[in-house]
Amino acid sequence: MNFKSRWSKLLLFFVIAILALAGCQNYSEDAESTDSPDATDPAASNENFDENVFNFATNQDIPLLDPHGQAANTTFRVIYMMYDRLVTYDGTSTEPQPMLAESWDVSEDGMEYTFHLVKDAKFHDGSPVTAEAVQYSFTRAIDVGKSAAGIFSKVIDKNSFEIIDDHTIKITLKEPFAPFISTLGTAFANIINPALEENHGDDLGESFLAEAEMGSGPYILDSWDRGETLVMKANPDYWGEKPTMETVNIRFVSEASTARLMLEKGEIDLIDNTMVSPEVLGQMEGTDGIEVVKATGFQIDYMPMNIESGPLADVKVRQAIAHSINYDALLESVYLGNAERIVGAVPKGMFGFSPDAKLYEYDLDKAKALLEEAGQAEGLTLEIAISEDDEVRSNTALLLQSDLEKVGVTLNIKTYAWPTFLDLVTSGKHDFGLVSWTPDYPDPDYNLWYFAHSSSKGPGFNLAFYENPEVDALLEEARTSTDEDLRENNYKEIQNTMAEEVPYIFVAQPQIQAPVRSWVKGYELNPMNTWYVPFHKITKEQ
Amino acid sequence: MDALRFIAKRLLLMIPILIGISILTFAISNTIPGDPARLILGPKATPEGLEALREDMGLNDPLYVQYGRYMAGIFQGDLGESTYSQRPVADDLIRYSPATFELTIFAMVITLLIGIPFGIISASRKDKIADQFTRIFALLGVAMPAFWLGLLLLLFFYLRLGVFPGSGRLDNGMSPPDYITGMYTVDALLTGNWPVFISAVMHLVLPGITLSAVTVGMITRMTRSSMLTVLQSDYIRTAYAKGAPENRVLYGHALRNGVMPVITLLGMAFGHALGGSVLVEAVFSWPGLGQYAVNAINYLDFPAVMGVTLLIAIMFILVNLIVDTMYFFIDPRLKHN
Repeated sequence: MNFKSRWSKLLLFFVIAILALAGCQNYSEDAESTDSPDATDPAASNENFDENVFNFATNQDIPLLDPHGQAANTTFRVIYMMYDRLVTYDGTSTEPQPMLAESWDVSEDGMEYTFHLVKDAKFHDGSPVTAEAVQYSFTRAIDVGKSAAGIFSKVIDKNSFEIIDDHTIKITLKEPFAPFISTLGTAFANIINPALEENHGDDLGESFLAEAEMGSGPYILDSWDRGETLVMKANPDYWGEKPTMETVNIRFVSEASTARLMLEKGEIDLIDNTMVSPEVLGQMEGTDGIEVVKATGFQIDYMPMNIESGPLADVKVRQAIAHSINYDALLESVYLGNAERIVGAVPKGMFGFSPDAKLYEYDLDKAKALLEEAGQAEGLTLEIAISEDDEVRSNTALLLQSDLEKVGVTLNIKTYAWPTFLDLVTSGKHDFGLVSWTPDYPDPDYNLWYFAHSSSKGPGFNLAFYENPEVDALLEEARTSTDEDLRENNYKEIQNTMAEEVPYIFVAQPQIQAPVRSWVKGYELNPMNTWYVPFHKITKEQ
Repeated sequence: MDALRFIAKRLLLMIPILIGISILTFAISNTIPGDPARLILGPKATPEGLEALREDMGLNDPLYVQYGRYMAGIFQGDLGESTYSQRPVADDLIRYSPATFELTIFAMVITLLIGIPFGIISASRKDKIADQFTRIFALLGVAMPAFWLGLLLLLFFYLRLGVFPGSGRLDNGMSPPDYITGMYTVDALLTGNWPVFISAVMHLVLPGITLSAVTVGMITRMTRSSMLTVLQSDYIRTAYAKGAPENRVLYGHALRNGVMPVITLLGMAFGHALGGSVLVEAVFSWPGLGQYAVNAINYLDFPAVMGVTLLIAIMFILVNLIVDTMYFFIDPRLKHN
């Protein structure tokens, strides 16, 4: 052994030792950062604290700002602040509250809606918000023909409007649509300044409004560096309650780990609730200066089963699957206890939720017996499709795989990129899928129509390809009725029927969890509208 | 003259290469299952709306018609409109690419400044401590995943020490310099905007180091092995024998010959850094082409995917052309050939 090689071995040893130490440091970061003086010390004044500026981090880029364009949740978050709507979902309430419409009357037959607008609302260019603006906005939504049209073109068209005076407008529906008022609180129903007409060009102003705003909301678009920061400034002339935060920075931080470091440092006040996995949220809960705000949301995570062909066409097989899932273990290990088991497509807390729908208990013997009855006792091989980059879904799939193996069902997990996944499940090339779903408006009509109506099969998001004429009839009746009791009964009956026929297994109703600096006060998560962040009501106090 | 003819030939050769790449990219992106119109309209779309949009986007035409239309547009300088941002792809590329080029060029500067001297030191002190140190350093650079290294750097220099910023291209609230090249450091220098220049450089440091880790390793190893061969040749022994000082021998005599393969590798390293920037951009929220391309793929935004691919291909070819042209100036043998 010569001198040189001994040296090199020593050197190698030191490098490895340093790397190993660096690794340990990383792991104990949570515990240490609270008491080491050189790291962020939230108790002492933080250099990044500014009570007038709010920094929000999200990993989802904003594609465009047009309320009537291609729908994206990250777009909703900012246009909710830059525009007003006839009604709004305020605080934690899922009841539509007056906004631009201070009151409204509905005719006996549920066809005519008369809205009385507030008189002092002004667009950002100073022009008043009038009945004409309301008519213009909905007409444009339908003409543009994208996501917003998908909701409104079913029930209104350009002949539906009657302007009674500057601040009164009557909208007559093509057919009764019970959840109409609920839809008016969505981002699609934002009221746009009709002055946009000057910028219509040849595309109804779509390319103009993709990068600008023409609203009347509490915030004004200040600047937008794509992929970097979108800045909103408080509207000094806002007609409603004065917005609290003067500046709101929406910052694009693509990597959740980076966002977490920035939150610990105090450079970020709030992280997008969809960005951080339950496991990391659990770790963050211990960190000083950071809180994890939790609320029950209307999101549901569910597993559609393609019932059109193959062994899953047999209801007994589907019931067997439902019996072989260890739900408690799933909620505990995948969601770390921050989720509830649900019965059907209507989330707990929403109007029309049926508490009586059949809940399948974890019972392997029953599952095996059902499979035997279905003639599948010798075992089955099925596939579950999931989209990539989602820890909850991949963990759920793994758990399902090990559960189903116990009853002789081999489950192959296939992971796809989102566009491919979407194509696969909407064209019925799947056995199972795993999907998360949040309704756009808080009415059972939304979820159930998409999940259960035969006209929604495939692309309409009836991913089970479920068809039951009775369910169709109940849905249609409830949609067009103004009788709340009848609607509630219909929805409950549909949930009970679906629980018997199991086209879907509803896995969980997870809690919405958002990591936030403790100095942020007044941040409420709306169960319906998780991408609605009330920047105009939040304050920061150190 | 030879050099000029060589450059002209290479530029002409670019055309078939780019056409080949465009066909390949077009074919691959269109074989991904999925319907762009469906992604734009979402689950709430009506079937009629969907059909109208498909017709409007030309998705109902056969693939070769779509490709022909795309290429016809390119020759008129029209790269199409991004379905994701609703803006012309050319505008998007002008907006996103300077960030990526700035980062990549910065990383290449680090690579040159560290990689070549380390390689030379390593070769001239073969098997000594300095050599062992640089070899392990180079090995780590090549072996460490950029993603992990980036997070480690952030944890230490951003969260712990607070000496470097964690994300983005400028400090929060600072407005970018007037647009000239789109590279903030260059534009700030040109307009004499010192605070922005300093902020831009500080923001470049961590992503630059992360991105250059691999290329530094590549260049160090290549310089070392190439220099080792050169150092064993007769003319070096002669140089030493006639009493030339070591630095003169290393940097004057040996480097010129030893650096040839390194220059070839530099072209490849540049391509590697351009590709690697996708991951690094994600860790440091760097708003560049990588981020744009990832979004484009998730929305099946074919015009944007095509635009990014072609732009990167052109850059890669051009850089390699520059590298190859440099031989004419470094290697006098080529001039007389």
